[in-house]
Amino acid sequence: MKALELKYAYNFEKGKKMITEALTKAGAILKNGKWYYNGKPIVLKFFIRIEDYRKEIGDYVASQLEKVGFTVEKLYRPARDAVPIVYGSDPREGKWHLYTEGWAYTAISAYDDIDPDFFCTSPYSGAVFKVYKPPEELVEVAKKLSAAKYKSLKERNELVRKAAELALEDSVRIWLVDQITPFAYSSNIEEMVYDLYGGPFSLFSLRTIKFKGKVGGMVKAGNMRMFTSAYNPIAGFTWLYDVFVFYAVSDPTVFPHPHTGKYIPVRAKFQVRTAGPEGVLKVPPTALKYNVSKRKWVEVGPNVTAKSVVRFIFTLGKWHDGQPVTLADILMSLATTFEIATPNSTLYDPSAVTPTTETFVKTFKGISIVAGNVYDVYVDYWHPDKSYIANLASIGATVPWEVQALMNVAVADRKLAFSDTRAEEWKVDWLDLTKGRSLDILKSYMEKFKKENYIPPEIKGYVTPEEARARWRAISYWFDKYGHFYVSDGPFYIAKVDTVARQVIMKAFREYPFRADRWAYLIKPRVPSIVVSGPSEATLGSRVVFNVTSTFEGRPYTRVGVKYLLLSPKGVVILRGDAKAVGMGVFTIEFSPEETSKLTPGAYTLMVIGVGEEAATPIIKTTSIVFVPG
Amino acid sequence: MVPVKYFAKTVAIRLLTLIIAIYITVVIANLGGFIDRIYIGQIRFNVESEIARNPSFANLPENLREKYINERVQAIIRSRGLDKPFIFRSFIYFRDALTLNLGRALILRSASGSSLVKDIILERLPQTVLLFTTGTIISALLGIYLSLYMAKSAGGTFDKSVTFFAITTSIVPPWFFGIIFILIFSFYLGLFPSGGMFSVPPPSTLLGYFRDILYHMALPLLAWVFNGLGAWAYVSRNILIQVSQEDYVVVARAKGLPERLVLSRYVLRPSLPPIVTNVALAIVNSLTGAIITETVFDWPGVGRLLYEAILSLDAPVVIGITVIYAYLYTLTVLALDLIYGLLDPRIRSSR
Repeated sequence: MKALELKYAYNFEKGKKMITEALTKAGAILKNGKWYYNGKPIVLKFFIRIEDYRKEIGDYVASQLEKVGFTVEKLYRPARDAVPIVYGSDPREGKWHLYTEGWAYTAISAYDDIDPDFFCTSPYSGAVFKVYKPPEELVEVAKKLSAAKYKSLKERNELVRKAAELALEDSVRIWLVDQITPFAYSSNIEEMVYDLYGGPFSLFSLRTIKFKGKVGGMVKAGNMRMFTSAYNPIAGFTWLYDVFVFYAVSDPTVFPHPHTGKYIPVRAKFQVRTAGPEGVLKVPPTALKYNVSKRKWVEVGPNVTAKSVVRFIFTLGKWHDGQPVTLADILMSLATTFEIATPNSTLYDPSAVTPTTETFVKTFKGISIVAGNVYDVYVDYWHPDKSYIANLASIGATVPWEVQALMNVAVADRKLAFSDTRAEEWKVDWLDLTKGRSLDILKSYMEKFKKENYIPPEIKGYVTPEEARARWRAISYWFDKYGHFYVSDGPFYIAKVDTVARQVIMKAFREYPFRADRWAYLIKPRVPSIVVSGPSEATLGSRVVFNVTSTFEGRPYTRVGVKYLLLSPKGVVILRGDAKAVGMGVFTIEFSPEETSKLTPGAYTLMVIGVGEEAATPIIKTTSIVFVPG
Repeated sequence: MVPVKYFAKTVAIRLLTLIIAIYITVVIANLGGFIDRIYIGQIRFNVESEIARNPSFANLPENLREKYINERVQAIIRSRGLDKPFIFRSFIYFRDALTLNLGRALILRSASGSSLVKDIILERLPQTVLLFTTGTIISALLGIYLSLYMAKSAGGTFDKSVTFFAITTSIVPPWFFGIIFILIFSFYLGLFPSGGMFSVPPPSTLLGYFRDILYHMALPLLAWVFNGLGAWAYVSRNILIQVSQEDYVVVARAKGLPERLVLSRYVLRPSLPPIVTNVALAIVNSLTGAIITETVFDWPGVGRLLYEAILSLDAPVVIGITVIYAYLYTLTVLALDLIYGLLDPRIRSSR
């Protein structure tokens, strides 16, 4: 990737030369520093968005194009004016030529495999690709990546490398990446975990925040907007600003590591066994699958196979209302997932089905209850990264079964809807467990179910009447005390939702099963320090060795891959390779006499790139070496 | 005798004005139907992006993917009524607006999660009334009180000083005073908060809650009153001076009546109709809030709501706010017309 960066590094004269050659070949003429075609100036219509610093970016790019000789018509527009034209018009009409798009990631991702297809070839990411056909090789590589048509990580990485090369060559989209996510915090706060892409919008941020020199206290977290989306765990929390609350009150089963994007255990540890992309594992006949029409769990039966199985070992713990988290909660949540994704079900809501959910429902083969808190989930899915298999297969419950039951019946009766789109279609309120008309509707169902000691059919046999009675009592007491239904299992619970003050007050859940410093190790991204040492001068045809040491907080750090590039005096990559590990955090880069004999005299640059396994931030160190004739 | 003809004519004129204003609002808020293209374009873009990034569709043949996208897009268009031509829908919106059936917002939501336009507006209205209507009433009453002394000593030092104050403060917008007051009273003196309606977290007792609101309201209220006070004083003063120059006032003084009686019966009372009219219309105007002042003080009122609705092209909310304002304004003017018509025969006969 570094080599590609160097190839496409800023070079005004090179760019000008390429543009001049292409335009001249097409019949354009450069007159008084301006390009003309058929007697008219070549005008570029540049839609520049004004809401953020894309305006400055647009002005800069426009000025570069004007320097080259184009006449640039800068059209400063907000989103609502630019989007219909850029994405809605036929590009051949010439209503626009350039546009300052903006894409943001809210959390780090380890494998952005869909991106080359989406951004570089897909007609669904922009009208351009409806008329412009990218090179076939790029389309083929992008589609293979997107459809995961590879059998090993090495094969996948090769596709990524190729896609990057071809996409840069094609350059329908040119990227300027802002690598800084600034966020302000008070000076009396110690550091907290931040996601390398999303900054403070990480599951771990509010969980690790602490004041200097003291334990506990009250943190005031400011937000751009409050209550933009409904608080429901199925298809709510759709706006970035609302996830602060979701992340604080609920524990996912697994979650991306904030510095690598690979999935790590949160509520459950996991062990993955896979038969590979083409292998099979037998699913035990007594494993369970959910029958949507009958609303019950049934055995899968014989002759069922899957590619992978994930064993989840849960720390079940308690819900905020004091009730224990049980298998019934997990099965209820799982059953609801299938119902939401099945067209004939009363809970069907296509807008509530995420891509991961859709894939899970299609590949799920069965669940085996190994022990009270240990479950094996069989999926017909493979990924070269086992943590991704674990994520796809992850089961769990964000709310207790009785709260899920309240939501389900309200949606089945079309009094409320899980998703915003469905709510609009049905002309009902978007289901919200904490505020609005949803509360009265859910309360009426709660009172009815409490009287009946209702046990949903999805978990019949997994809950005793005594347990059910305790659950309905607990949720009723919770609602009376706090005025909402959002009971979950995270380190904080919602104490108050104040829609007038536009504030949410969350308090520490003292029966949370994990320690407060559980995620402290994530506060400092484990980015190693790299030091390169070696000769500043060498003779052509001699053996040259450089030493590279990798440390973290003063100690040798071995979980790092070290690569190198040797750049010629003109900045061209001459040699590349991997450094050899020779000790604890010690590597060597060796150039053989055969390799150095092929070089010419001059000053070369050795670029050493270290990437730690625990943080996706490359460390780049350069050193110079002068090769002299022997 | 009850002036029936006058009343009927007045009501008819006001109703017609209201009807025309509402229909024009419906058309403008929807950009004459152009907004449909923007919505449909946005819907298609969102659905296409969602499908394109969904790995479940990666292996689907292109024609099936396109079919699925079209079906989804059409379903959403139908659910929002965008499949019907705008001219047809405009009359539905118009009918709904006239009957105050404000419908559902397209994009905005109330903090409690409702998409009903009436919920969205009613959530913000109390904050606006609390700040701006209160501020308008305070500045009107104080201004009228000052105007009495100004009129009494017309041309004197007090009159000239307040006139100068009135001119300078009314040409500067209230949000500018707001910024100055925040700098002085919040940052330098630390006496008041710089914005928002509540402390974080708000007090748990009811009394504490209200005290907290008043505390946060102090600076924006001061800015609003400071901006409006001078204008009220000056306008009222001019009305009082004009009335006090009427012949019957001269005669009353010539007759030797006590000055207090002359002022209260012969000057103030005839001055009230125009003053009351101004106050009534100002109160109605205050219900739409003030976008920039609300932004400066982070006060969640109707002004900011209108701004957000315009920015996000949420036509139902824009129509809703305008319709409510149009109704209130029309009813206020109608009431004033009718009351003056009853009290003053000259007004009835001139129409």
